[in-house]
Amino acid sequence: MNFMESSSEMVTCPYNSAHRMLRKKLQQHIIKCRELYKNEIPLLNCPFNNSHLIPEPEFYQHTKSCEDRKIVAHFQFSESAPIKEDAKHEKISADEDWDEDNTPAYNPQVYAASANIVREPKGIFPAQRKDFIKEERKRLGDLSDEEKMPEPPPPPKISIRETTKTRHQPYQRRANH
Amino acid sequence: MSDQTRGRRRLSGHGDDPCSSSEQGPRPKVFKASGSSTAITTVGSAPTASGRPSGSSTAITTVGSAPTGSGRPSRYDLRYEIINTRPSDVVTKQGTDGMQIRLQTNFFRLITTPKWRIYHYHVEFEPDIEMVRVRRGILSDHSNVLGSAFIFDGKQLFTTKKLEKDLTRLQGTSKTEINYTITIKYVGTISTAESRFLQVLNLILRRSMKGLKLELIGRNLFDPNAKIMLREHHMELWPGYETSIRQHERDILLCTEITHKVMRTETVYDILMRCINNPARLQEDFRTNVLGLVVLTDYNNRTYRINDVDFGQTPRSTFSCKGKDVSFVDYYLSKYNIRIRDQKQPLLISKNKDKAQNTQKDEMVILIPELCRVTGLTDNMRNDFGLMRAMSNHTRMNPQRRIERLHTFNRRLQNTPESVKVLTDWDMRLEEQLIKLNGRVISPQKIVFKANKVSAGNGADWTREFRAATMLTTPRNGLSRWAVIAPERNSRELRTLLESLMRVGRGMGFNISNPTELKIRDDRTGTYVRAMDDCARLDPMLVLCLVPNNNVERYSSIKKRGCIDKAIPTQVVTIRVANNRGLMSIATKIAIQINCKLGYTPWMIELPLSGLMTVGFDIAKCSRDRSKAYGGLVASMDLKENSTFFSTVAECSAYDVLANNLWLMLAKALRRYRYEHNKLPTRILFYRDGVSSGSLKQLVEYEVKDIAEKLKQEYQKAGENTQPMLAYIVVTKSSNTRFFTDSYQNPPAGTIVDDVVTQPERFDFYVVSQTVRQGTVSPTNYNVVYSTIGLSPDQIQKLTYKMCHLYYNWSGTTRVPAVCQYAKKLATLVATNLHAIPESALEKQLYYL
Repeated sequence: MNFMESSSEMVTCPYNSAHRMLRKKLQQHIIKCRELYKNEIPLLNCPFNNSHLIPEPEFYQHTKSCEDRKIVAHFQFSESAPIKEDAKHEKISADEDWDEDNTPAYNPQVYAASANIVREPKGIFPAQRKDFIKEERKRLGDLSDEEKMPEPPPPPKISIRETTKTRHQPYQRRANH
Repeated sequence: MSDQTRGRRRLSGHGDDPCSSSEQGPRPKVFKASGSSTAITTVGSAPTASGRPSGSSTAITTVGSAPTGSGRPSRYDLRYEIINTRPSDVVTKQGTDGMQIRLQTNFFRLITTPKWRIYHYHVEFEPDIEMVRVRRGILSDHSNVLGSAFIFDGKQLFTTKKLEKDLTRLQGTSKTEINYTITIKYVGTISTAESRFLQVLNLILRRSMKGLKLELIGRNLFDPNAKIMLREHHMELWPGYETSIRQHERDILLCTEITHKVMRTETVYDILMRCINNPARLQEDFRTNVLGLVVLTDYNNRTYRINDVDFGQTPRSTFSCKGKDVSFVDYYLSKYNIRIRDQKQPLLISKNKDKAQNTQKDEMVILIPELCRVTGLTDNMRNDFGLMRAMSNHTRMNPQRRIERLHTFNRRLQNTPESVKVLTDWDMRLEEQLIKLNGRVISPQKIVFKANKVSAGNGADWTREFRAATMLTTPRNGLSRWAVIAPERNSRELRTLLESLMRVGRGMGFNISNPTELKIRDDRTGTYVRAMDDCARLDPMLVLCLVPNNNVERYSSIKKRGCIDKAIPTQVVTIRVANNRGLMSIATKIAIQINCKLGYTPWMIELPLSGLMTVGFDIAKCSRDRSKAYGGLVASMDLKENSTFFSTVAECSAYDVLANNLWLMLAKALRRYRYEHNKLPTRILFYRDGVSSGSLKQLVEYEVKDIAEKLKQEYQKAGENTQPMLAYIVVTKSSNTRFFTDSYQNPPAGTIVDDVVTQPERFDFYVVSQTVRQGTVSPTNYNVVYSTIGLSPDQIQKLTYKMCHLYYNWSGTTRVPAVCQYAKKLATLVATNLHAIPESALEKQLYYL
C-alpha cells in the first residue's frame, strides 16, 4: 500500500555501522567511504554487484549466495544463440579508414586549469575543497583576501589516514575474532 | 511532446517519429501511414573543410604542464590517471570536419564588473522561526544596516557591502508582536573565482525575475497572469522560464528555456466525488486513485505526495496548534481565510519526505482534499490524443516563436523597474542579443543496402529510397516456417495483411512464405496463449498475433510466452492497422521489423573502423514493483562484416542511479563478440544513457573506473596483446540548450556544436541528429567522461552521428545512438511487460522492437 516506505528505508554503511543513510544515498556514500577507509578496512568487491562490499571471511559465502549471481547463472545454464552465417555480409567499404589512428584523448582539465573560468570542486572532501578554492583565487588573481586579513595559521595537514584512526571500525573488529 | 515530460523520461524527438511513440507502454503497433513529403535529394556532398590531419594541431604553451598547484590533491586528474599515461596533447575538443553553419542559441552573455566581491553572512533568529517568509520580512526591516543590495535565502545572507562588525546583533519584531534577536555572523567572502559565486548570481537573477510577477513552482518561475486555460480538459498551462547561470566554455552565460507547467484545475475532492458512485468500494477506489499523487496546495504553493487517506477524520476534527485544539475548518479560516465547503470529506496524509533524514522523521502533514490540486498527467491523459494535441499547440513552439519569447523575456527583465533595480544594485548586466556561434554540419551519410548505397539526404530520412532497395541481410530461405494467430472473424483482415506482407517482402528481397494459420474462436488472453503453445510445437521462426486492440494484459501475456517461456520472437499487430488504407507502408515497416526480430539487418552505414563494438545502456523502472528497475545493454558486433546486435538485460535496484552489475552485462557482450569473431573488439564505444549530469563524478568513480580495470584484466586473460581502447560517453537528451539557424529555422540533421555553450571541464559536444518539422529540435548532449579509444574529437563526433542511423524501427535518424535506443526499448519492454529476464536464445535478435 505504502510504497514510499521502502524508498525511505535506512541502510547501514558497510565500512562504519555508525553511518546510516537512506537507501538511495548508499552508492554515493560508498564512494566516499571506500576512499576514506581503503587502507583501514579492506572489504572485497562482490563480483556480481559493485555495491556489495564484503569482509574477507564472509566473501566466499557471499559469492555463493549473492542474489545477483543469477545474472551469471542465467547465462551459464541457458543455451546461447547459434551463429547465423547468413547474417554476416561482405565487408562494407568506407571512404575513410581510421583503423591506424591513435589520437590521445582530450583532457579538459588541461584547458580548464589555464583558462579564465570558474572551476567546480565537485566530489572532493571539504578540506580539499577549501584548498581548491584558495588555489583558484590565486590562479585567477583574486588575492585581496590575504592582503586585508592577517594570515590565519595554516590548517594542520590532516591526512585522511590519521582522521580515520579514531573511527569505529566494525569489520576489522569482527575479523579479529 | 510536452515540456512536462522533460527529464529522464522525456521522449525522444519533438517530431512525429515512431520511436517516440513506441517507447512508453505497450502499444502493439503504432505504425504511421507515411505521408512522406521529403523530396529525394541527390547526394549532397557538402564541402568538407580542408581535412586537417586529426590530432596534429598547434600546441599551445600550457600543454603538459601540470595544473596549477601540483601539490594539491586534484581529484580531477584521477579521471585520466588509470590508463592515460601519455601526456594529453590533444589541445582542443573542437572538430573541423563538416560545413560551417551560423547558429543562434538560447543563451545570453552576462556582463559583470570584474572586481566584485560578495560578503557572506550567516543569520540566526532567537527564538527560532520556521517560515522563511517571516524571516525575510523581519530582516528586510533592517535594510538601512544591510545596504540596498542584499540577498537572503532564510539562512544565508549575501551583501555587496561589508558590515562594520563581524558579529552584528539586531532586534526585530514580527507582525504577531514577538520580539526576535537577529544574529548576523560573518562567514567569509565569495570571490569571482569560485563556483559559489555562480550560485549567488543565480539567486540574484531569480530575485530580479520576481519583479516580473512570476511565481515559483518547484524550482522554476512561472507566470500565472499569462496562463492558458484548457477548460474542456480541466487544465491550465502556465508559461514560465527555466534559467541557469553557469560557467561555459569561455564565459559565464545565462541559459533561458521557455517551459510550460501543466496545472490541473481538478482537486482531490473531484476524484473523491467520482469514486462516490460506487459506495461499497469507495475507500478502496479512492485509495488506488489517490495514493502516490503529488498535489499542490494553493494557499502556500507547496507540493506534497499523498501517502495515505484517513477516513476516520473530517475537517471538523481537531489538532493541537500552539497548545490549543483547533479544528481544520477554523484553522484554514483564520490562517488563510479559506472556508472549507464539505465538512465530511476524509483527510489526506503526507509524510514529509525531505525531512526523513532529520529528527522530524515521522512528521506528517494532514491535507484537505478540497484544497489539494492534482499535478502531473495521468496515463489516461497521456493517451488522450485530443488533450495532448491541445497542449502541444501551446507548448510546441517553432524556433521563430521561441526566439521572440526569449527576446521578450530579456526586454521585460531590462525594462521592469523592480528587476532593473536588483540587477543594477548588484552591478549585473545582461546582453540583449542571443549568443551566436559556429556549428558544423556533417555531410549526409550513406545507407548501405544489399546491392546499392544511397545517401540519407539532407533530411536524414530514407523512407522513400528504401522502397526500391533490398535489405542488407535476410534469412537464406526467407521466413519459411512461421505461424499466425488470429480470431476467426478477422480472417479477412488477416488475408489482406499477409498478402501485403508477402508483396513488400518480395520487393525488399525478403521471401515470406505462407504461414501456418491458427484461427481462434474468441480474443481472450488465455486463448492466445494456448494457441501460442500449440504453435510452439511447430518450432516456428516467428509468431504473428493479430489482436483486436492494444490491451496491455494480452500484449504482455503474448510477449511473456514468446520471450520468456518459448524463446520465439513475436509480432503483435492490431486489426486497425490491417484495415488502414496506408497498409502498404505499414506492411513495409512490419516486414523490416520481422527481419530484425529474426536477427537480420535491413541496412548499415559506412564505418571507417573495423573491430569496433558499440554499446548502449539504459535503465527503465519496473511498472509493477517500484523498488526494481531493469537495465538493458545492447552491443553491436563488428558492424563492418556482421551487422548484428547482442542484447542482454539484468535486474537492478531502482534506488541506485549507477549500475551495479554493468560489468557482468558487458562481459557477456564481450564473450559473444569473441565467440563470433574469435577475438575481442579492438575498440569499444560505450554510450551510457539514463544518468543525470549531477552524478557524473560518481559515475566515473563507480562505473567507469571499474569497467576500465576489469576490461584490462579481461583482455589479459584472453591473451590479447593489445590494450582495450574504450570511450565512455554519457548521453543526455534533456538539456535546455537550443540551437536555431540565422534564418530562424531548426538546424539541419548532423549539426554539431562543440564550443561556446559547452562546458570547460568536460569533453562534450552537442549533436542535432534529427530533422524536426514541428516545434524546436532539442540537441543531444554527449559527454566523453573517459577515453582511450584513440580517436580525435572530430572522429568521435562523426561516429556518434553515424550511430544514430541504425534504429530499424525508423528509416531516419534517431535522437540518440541506435544502441541506446535499443537498450531503452529492451529495458522498457522488460520493465513494463515481461517482469522477468528473457531467454538467452534470443540474445542475438532484436526481439523487443
